[in-house]
Amino acid sequence: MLVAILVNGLLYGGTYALLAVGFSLVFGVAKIVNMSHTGFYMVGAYLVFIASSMMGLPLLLSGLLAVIISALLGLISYKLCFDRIKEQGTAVMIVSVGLALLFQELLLLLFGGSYKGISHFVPGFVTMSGYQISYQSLLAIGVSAISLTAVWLLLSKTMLGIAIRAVAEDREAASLMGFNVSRIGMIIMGISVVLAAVASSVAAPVFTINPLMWLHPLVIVLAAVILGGLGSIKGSVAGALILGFTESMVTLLVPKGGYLGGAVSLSIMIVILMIRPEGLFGVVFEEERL
Amino acid sequence: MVKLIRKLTRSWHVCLFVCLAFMFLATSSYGEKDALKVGVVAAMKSLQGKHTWYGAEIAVEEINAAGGVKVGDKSYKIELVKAASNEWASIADATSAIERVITVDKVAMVLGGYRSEAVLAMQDVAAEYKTIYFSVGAGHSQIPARLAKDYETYKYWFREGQPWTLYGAFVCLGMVDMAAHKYKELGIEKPKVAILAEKVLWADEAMKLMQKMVPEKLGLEVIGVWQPSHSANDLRAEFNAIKAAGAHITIHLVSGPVGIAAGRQWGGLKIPTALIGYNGEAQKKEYWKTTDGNCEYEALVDYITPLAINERNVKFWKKFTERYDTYPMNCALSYNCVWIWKEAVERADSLDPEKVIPEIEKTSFKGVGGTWRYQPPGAKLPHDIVWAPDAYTEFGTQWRAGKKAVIWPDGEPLLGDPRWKNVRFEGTVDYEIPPWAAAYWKEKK
Repeated sequence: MLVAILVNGLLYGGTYALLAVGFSLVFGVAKIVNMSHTGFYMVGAYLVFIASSMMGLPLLLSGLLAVIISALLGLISYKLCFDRIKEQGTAVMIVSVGLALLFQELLLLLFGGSYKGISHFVPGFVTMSGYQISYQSLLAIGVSAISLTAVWLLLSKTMLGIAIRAVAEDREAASLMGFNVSRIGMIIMGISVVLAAVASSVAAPVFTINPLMWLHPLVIVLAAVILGGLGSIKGSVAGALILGFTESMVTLLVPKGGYLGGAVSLSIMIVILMIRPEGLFGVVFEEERL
Repeated sequence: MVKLIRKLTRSWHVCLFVCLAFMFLATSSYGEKDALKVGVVAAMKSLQGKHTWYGAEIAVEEINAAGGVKVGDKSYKIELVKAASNEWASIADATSAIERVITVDKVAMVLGGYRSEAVLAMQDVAAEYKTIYFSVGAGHSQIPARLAKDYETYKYWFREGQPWTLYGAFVCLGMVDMAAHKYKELGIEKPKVAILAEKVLWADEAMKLMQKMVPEKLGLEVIGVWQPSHSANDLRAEFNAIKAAGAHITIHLVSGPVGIAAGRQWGGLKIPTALIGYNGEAQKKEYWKTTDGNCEYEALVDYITPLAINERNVKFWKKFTERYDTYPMNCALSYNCVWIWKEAVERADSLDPEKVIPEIEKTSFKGVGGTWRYQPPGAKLPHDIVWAPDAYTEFGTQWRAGKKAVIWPDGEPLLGDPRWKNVRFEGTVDYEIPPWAAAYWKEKK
C-alpha cells in the first residue's frame, strides 16, 4: 500500500508540480494569471497524439515535437494576446480563459469529444511489493523530477535566472537596471509552456486525453499555487505534492470514495488556508520568493 | 438635411423589407415541404450522441427511400432535427434542448438522452408537452417505474434499450458464471468478486444489485467495491487495490470516459482478474486502438452484434460499420425507434400521440438486435422492452484479437432459467479467462 501511495502521489504530484511551477513563474514574473496554462498542457498531449498515433512518428520524437510546437504556440499567444494588455490584470485573466476555451473548441471540432489514448513511451510494468507500476509512470516521475531540478538550477545558478528573479522582485527597478522586462516575460512564458508540454508528454500516455482535460488540472494547479503561497516556486511544488498525495491516498484508502479525491484535496487546501492565509511559503510582504 | 433623413429612412425601410423577405424565403425553403420532424436530443460531441444520430440517420434514409410515412392519403418524408443536450455537464441544458425541439421545431417525436439523471428530467418535459419520447440508453429503473405509478402522465415515454439494472445484470451474471466455471477448472472453487462502479445514478443502482445478486445467484463472495468518478482517467490505484484484495473477477460498471482507463490500465498492467461488466466505451471499434490492444479478454454486456439474428440486423451492421467505420453501440438502437414510431403512426393512421401510443404498445418489430416488444400498461415497468429468448436478449461479448466475439447467449440455462437452454446464435464462441490471470492464480494456488 505504501508503494502505491508513493508512486501515485509522486506521479500526480509531479505532474501538478510541473504545471504549478509554470503557472507560478508567469504570475510571479509577468504578473499574468494565465488560466490557459493547462490548456497548453492539453494541446501538448494532443500534439503527441497527432505525431505518434496519426502520423506514425516515434514516440520520443513526437514528445519533442509537442514540446517545441507548444512552446512556439505559447510565445505567439503571449505576443498576440497578453503582451499588449499585461498591465490590465482582469482583462488578461479573461483573455486567458478565452484562449483555453478556444483550444478546447478547436480540439472538439478536430477530434470530437471521444477519448484518445497514447501508447506508452516505455511499454511494460514492474511489480514492487505486489503493486504493478508501469514503466511509463516511473518515466513520468523521473522526467518531472529532472525538469523541476532544471528549473531550480536555471533560476538560482544562471544569469537568466537572476534576471527572472530580479523582474519578479521589482519590475521597475529591474527595468531601470537595464533588464528587458517584456522579453523576460516572454521567455518565462516559453519556459512555463515547455513545462506544461513536458508534463503532458510523459503523463498523457498514462491517462487518457480529451478536449476537457485542462479543467481538472487547472483547479488543482490554482489550489496548489494558492496553498503554497502565490508566486512562491517551492510553495507551488509543495502544494502540488500535498494535493497529489492526498488524491492518491483517498483513492487507495477509501475504495468507495475514489471519486472524492479532488474534493478532499481542495478541502485540505481550505483548512491550511484557514490556519495560514498566506499559504505555506507565502509572505505577507513582498520579499524573496524563490 | 430633412431630405437626407427621409431618404435614409426610406432606404432603411427598403433594407428592412429586403431582409425580412430574405428571412421568410430562407426559412420557408429550409424545411422540406410535407416533412415530419423527429428531434434527436443528445450530447452530439460524445460517442453516445453520435451513435444516436447515426442510427436515426440510417432509419430515416431507409424510410424516406421507401416513400416516407403514410398518414391518410398523404406521404411524409422524415426530417431529423439535431439538438445538443450537453447532458454530461448540465441537466438543465438537456431539458432546454428537448423543450426547444418540441416547442420551436414542432417535432412529432423525440429521441435521445443517455444519462439517467437527464432522461428523468427530459421525461417530465415530454410528458408536459404530450410528445412521444424514446430514451436511448439511460438504465435507471426509476424511469419506467414512473409510468407504473402514473401511466397517464408519463405514457409518452418509451425505452430504446433495456435497463441494465434489470436485464443487463442477468447477462453480466451469466458471464461471471462462465468465468467462475473457468476458475473451477483451475481448481479455484469459489472465485472472489470485486465491483468497480463509476459514481453515477445508474451505476449506484447496478452496484447494489450486483452486491446482492452475486452471492444470491452465484454463491460467490463480493470482497469490495471501488467507486471512481465517471470522468476519472486513471484507475491504476483501484486495479492494484483489487489485485491486493484477491479478486479473481472484477465486475466493472462504467458508462463514461473512465471506461477507456479501465481497458487500458487493466490489460496494460496485466492485473490478474477477469474483467466483466458494462463499459460504454468498449462497445466501439476504436476502443481496441485507444486502449493499445490492452482490452484483450475484457468481456461486456453488449447490444448490437453482426450475428444473423434477422435480415435487418445483418444489413444494419454492414451499413453502419461501412459508413461510420465503427461498431454501433447501444445508442444506435435509435434506428429501431424511428422505424417503430413510423409503423405505429401508419397503423394508427394519425400523428396524434394519443392514437399512436397504443400502436407502439402493440409493436412486434424484427429490428436491430432482436424482436422488439414493449411491456404493456399495468406491467411492473410499462414501456420497457421485453427481455426474453424470443424477444430482445442483449449479448455478452469479449474482445479477442482486435474484434468483439459474442460469448453469450451460450445455449446454457441462465442462472437456472431453462428458457435460455439452446439459445445460441451461429458465430458464438466460448468465454476465455485472461491467460495472465489464469497463470497468476495457478501459481498462487
